[in-house]
Amino acid sequence: MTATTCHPLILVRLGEITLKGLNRGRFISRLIGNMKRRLTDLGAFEIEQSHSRIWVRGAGDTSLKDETLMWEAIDRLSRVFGIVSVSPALELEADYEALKQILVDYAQDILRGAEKRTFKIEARRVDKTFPLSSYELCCELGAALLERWPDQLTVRMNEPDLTFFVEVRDCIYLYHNIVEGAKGLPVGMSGRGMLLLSGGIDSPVAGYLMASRGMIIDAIYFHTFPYTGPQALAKVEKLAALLARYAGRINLYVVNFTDIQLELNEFCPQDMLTVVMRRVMTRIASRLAQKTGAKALITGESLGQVASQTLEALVTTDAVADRPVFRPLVGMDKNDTIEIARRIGTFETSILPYDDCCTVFVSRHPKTHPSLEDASRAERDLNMDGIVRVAMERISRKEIDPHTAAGV
Amino acid sequence: MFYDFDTTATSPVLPEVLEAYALRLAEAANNPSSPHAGGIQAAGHYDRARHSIAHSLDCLPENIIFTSGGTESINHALKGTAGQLRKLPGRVVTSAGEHDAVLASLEYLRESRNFELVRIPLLGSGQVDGGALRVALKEAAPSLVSLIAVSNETGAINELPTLVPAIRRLAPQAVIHSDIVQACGKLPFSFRTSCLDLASVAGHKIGAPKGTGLLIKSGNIRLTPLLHGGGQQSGFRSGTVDVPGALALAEAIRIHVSRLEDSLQVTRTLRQQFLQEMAERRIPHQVLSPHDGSPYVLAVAFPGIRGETLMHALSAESIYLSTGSACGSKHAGENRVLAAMGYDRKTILSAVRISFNPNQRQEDIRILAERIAAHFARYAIESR
Repeated sequence: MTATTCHPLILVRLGEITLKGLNRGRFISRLIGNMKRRLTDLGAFEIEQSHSRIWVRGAGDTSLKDETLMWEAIDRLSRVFGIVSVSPALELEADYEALKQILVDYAQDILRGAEKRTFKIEARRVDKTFPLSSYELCCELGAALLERWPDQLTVRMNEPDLTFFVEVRDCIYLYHNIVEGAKGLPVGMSGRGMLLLSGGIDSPVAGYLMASRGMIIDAIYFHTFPYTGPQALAKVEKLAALLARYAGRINLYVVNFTDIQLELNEFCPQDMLTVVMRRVMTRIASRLAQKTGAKALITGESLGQVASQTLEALVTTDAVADRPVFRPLVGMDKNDTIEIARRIGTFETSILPYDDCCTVFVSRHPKTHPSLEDASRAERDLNMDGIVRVAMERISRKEIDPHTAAGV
Repeated sequence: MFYDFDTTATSPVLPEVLEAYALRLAEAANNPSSPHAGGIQAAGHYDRARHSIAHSLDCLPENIIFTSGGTESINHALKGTAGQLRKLPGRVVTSAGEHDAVLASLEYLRESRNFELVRIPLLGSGQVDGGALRVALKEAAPSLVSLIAVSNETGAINELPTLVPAIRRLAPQAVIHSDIVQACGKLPFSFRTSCLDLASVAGHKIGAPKGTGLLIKSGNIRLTPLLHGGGQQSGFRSGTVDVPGALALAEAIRIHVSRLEDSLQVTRTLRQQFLQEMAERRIPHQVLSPHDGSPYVLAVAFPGIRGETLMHALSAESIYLSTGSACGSKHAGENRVLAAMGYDRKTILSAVRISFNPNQRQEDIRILAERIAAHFARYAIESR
């Protein structure tokens, strides 16, 4: 038997979307669309769903025999929401002798070193016409490996070093590596949200969490040049690009906020400046959300974390939002947020030292428990309609995809 | 086209230097250690560079060690001296106004080798406190003293001609090093009359390419090498000698020294013009540099506007200056040299460093002043 009858492919396992009854078709076609978009610049791929699996094969000139390509594709797919895990696998015809030979070759690649390893075979026969049962497959294939490497391999059922998975369907699938996926729901299943993105640790995590529930993420950033420099903007673009590895392409809206900030600084009581600034940002984000079709706002606020995130302060910002404000971090401990930020790779960028506007315009003694009346009174001298209108005129949009290079 | 008021951080390669450098890069292909004719020719160029520098800085050709820049020179001077001390752990006296390269090298000696590190405070003028220095020297004799000649943050000048003899008298055993990076080629300097044991120079601050530098070492000083290898440069600094770099550096130093007095005069005038423009335009400002410092460096605060804000606004118009030292400017409001001079965080946050040099025109200064005035009017906010 020659190896030409075996093809590398990627096995993708689905999680909760398999449970979703009548919506299942919609979920799966959305997921496949997301996967295609994420792989598009790597080459041509054929993506096919059957049973509770999705199979990704190289098409045309694209071959997953190229290991670098295989692992890049796996890395990307492992960040697509809706996927529970991913495995690089081999597909071969349903023939026991062929299987035995290819398994030995496959194990040869893995066992390159001389160190001793424990292993087991986990076989699953879906096609009951195949001559060997699952149990027989395990015994026979295990024996074949032991015969080839009597000194190096020992069988162990409980937590072995290596598990060879064999699935017998129309074809046989062989794999041993299972890469954990991002889980959640495919982006696009839960509408569109407008993320208020700063350069900090929290907001990218908030965006990540909502995207994991299937939301398409738009992001808005308030740029206060020259109080913040081009590096602060580049940092936000970089964060959006990191987030886009999970959330897919992100429309980043940058508001030129300088004049507004100066106006607030001049016409607001200092102790209410932060509250008013956040209310203005919420109004602008709401107005933009109307235009882009985002049905909710998303922020990285966590209750009580800073003076502007007390319950009273959150109430004052909610009061000017015309749609729900999702705060997925509201009950989370900062350390847990940091842990997610580290896992999704935004932490290192978030802690770069370029200030965002919040740190330039801060009063020494902000009011921590503002009432709605306090907020309205503080905004008395502002032409709020004018401010929002000016802001809308000074928004620029940039499409950020996972490969947007940002010079930070 | 841009306006460069950040030449304390680095300077463009001088046209004459670039020409000499490119020519040598193109033709001097041989290793000066090679015994064949090509190598001998390269060694000749190298020797010429050493003699030229020795002439410009008044030292002996054999005093010169070519390095990769100021940081290496300083590391070599301090760690190399420490490596030769008989009495360990050593005591090192330095000032609170040193460059990071000195501070971090000495911190390294403190942490890894248990050295005692004494940092002499600065006066409000930015100079080292001579009285406190004398007290520290009398307290216990140090084995190593390192003082910056001209502050890269403020231009404050330490009076080495009086300080060095005082150190010699009170601590005759001490090896004395000076970071002369901002002095070399800009202020009169003679290694011989300075009585220093070691002096560090960076090429890129004076129009030579980055990656060039010098450690000047008096003959009787023993120094442990940082780099071991083929034993080049009398074993002090192994590694194939960069002949084009050495020639470029020699040329840059020669040009600077030959024009030194004229350049100083022009630079003083430019700095004066700038301060006058600030006054005429009624821009509130506080000069943090001493009035008698190097005219090449001006630390000035504009209360009401952060240095960073002003830097960004000017940068968008291709006018470049610095907030504090470029190496340390990632941490807003932190500048240990200005802090050591007694300035508070608010002043430091509003400080910028403007570099003047004789290649600037009066018109450039006028534009700088005008733009600062415009940005100040637009972006300064009530301080709270």
